[in-house]
Amino acid sequence: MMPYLFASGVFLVGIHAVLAKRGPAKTVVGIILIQMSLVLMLVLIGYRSGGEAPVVSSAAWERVASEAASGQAGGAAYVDPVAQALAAVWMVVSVSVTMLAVAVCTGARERRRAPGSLEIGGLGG
Amino acid sequence: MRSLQAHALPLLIAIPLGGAFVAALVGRQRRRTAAVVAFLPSAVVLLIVAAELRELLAGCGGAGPVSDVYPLAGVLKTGLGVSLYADALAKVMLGVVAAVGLVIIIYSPGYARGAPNALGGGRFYALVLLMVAGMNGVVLAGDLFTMFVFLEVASIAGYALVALAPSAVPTVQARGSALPFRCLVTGAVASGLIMFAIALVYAKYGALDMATLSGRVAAGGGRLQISDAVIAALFIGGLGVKAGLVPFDGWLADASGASAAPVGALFSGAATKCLGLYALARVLFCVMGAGHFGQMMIAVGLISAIAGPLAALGQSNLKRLFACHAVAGSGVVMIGLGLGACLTGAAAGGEHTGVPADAGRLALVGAVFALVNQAALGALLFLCAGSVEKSTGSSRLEDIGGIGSAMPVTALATTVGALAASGVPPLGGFWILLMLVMAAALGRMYLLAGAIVLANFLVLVSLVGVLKQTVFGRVSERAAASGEAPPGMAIAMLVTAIVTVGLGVFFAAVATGLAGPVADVLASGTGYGETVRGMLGGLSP
Repeated sequence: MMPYLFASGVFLVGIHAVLAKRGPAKTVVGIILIQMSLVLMLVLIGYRSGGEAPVVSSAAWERVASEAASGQAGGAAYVDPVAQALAAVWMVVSVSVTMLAVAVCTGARERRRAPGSLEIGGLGG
Repeated sequence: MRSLQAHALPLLIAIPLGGAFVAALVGRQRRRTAAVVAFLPSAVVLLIVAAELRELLAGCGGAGPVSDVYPLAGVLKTGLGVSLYADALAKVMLGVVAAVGLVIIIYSPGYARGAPNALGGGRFYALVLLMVAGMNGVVLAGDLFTMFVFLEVASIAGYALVALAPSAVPTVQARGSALPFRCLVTGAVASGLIMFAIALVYAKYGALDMATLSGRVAAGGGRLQISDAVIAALFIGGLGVKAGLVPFDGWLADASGASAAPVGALFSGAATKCLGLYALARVLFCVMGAGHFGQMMIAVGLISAIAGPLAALGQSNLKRLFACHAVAGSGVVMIGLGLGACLTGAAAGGEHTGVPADAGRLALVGAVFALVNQAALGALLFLCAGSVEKSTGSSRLEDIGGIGSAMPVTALATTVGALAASGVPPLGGFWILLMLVMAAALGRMYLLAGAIVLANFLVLVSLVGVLKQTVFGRVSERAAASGEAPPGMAIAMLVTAIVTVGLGVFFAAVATGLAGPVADVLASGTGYGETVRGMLGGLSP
């Protein structure tokens, strides 16, 4: 239950940042928060306590195999690689969206030919 | 499994994707070459899809579901394989996307003529092809995450289109430059909701492959679990934004009003239908088993179907007005889907409910027919708006009175689109109204039937008012000075208008040949998984 509550908390902070409408820079930060909360959630979903990184070297494989043969491993030798793969792809997607958001918002500012007119306030625009 | 057909499935994504790169390379200098480069892959895709649809029509005699599956990577046994899958639902949607894409590419050179920076130079064609590739990917994806990635491909191309292809007519909107940004932010939040839902699905069921998932959901028994309801609500929230449903519909009117008419046509005709409604139908029916979520869908759909035309009554910009009607169209499809889910569940649930077994299927046929019809007329109305805007230099209602005499083709096409949307027989809207009201009455939801009629009446009032003012109204100065649109635009409008009329006139053939098999796919719900597993040769859930 914890991963969901934790990630939902960050997600809601992001939603608040988007809805509060304090200028595009903060909106972009809100989008990033939303995106990264989901990375957090995916990684936590895939986490197995005591698990190793899912990089299967032959030595690690043999150890797991021998542990499995002797019946002591609980099947939690590795963290879930699928969740990590999802997180990686999601990061790629979210970075593209963020880049486009920044591009659109700087483009909009240039078109108005008035620096700072979009109130980038706190970030020194 | 037809191996030849199945091998065509990856091509449906690869061809527009390749075309997009070529068009992007060529389009920087030569806009017209880019248009030709974009036309070829779209035409090839439409031909492939037409072959698939012909097979579907031929197979409706009782040969069972005509489906293709193409495993790409991974082991489906683990529930993590990546595959492409096309059943009746997917094929009809592919047809919609391919047809709308091709019509827009034929239409656009005329729209951009004489305005060097309209449509962002040749980049427009690359982005349209990218969006078509993304939408085909969404339709064909056999697992949730692949679907999501293609959804993002199409969405990002869409945001870029809104930003790069501003309206050919400079709109008098002070906040115009911020509109693409707002549209993008809404979309990004929606993507977050969808990804949240997918992560929850993976955490709960340990699979992403839709066939495996549907088996595991079905194995969970018929009771509604809170986690499933949360997942469904997140999907409805996220995909509802993409479908332009109220209360998340603001972006559609903003994007359509601020950007070029072909972009609006692409959004209204294909993107909202494919990225929103199709994805929602696929996930809720085939994966989650829609029975429990019917009420939720009806509620969301009903709000859109009534609020859409009400918002349209207050619009003075033709493109924003048509965007409001696209919202209403999405709402009607949602009502049909929800009604189908409720009634199918009720008929399966018990005998004493008194709901005829066919009522659910009737609603689903209505929903699918509405999906196709709304796609055709949504695209048509935006093409007409673009033509009016191109000739008269304005899309404000008071500037464009009496275009009927100056622009006969545009006026005819607008009239067809408006009548088809407002439920005038024998055009499509009437049959949708008939099917949905009948289904609601059979399911003893008389209040809902009344609400559907009311929604349709509002659409009628709004669109007849628009027709009266623009096509048949007093001739304004701008309209008197304008002429008919260039041939490419006129052809695109006429073809779309003919398709729209055809959908209504040959309603029976379309409903039994195309909408029927799709409704069966939806009605079978989580039986989807068994079909796919059967085709792949007996995988266990």
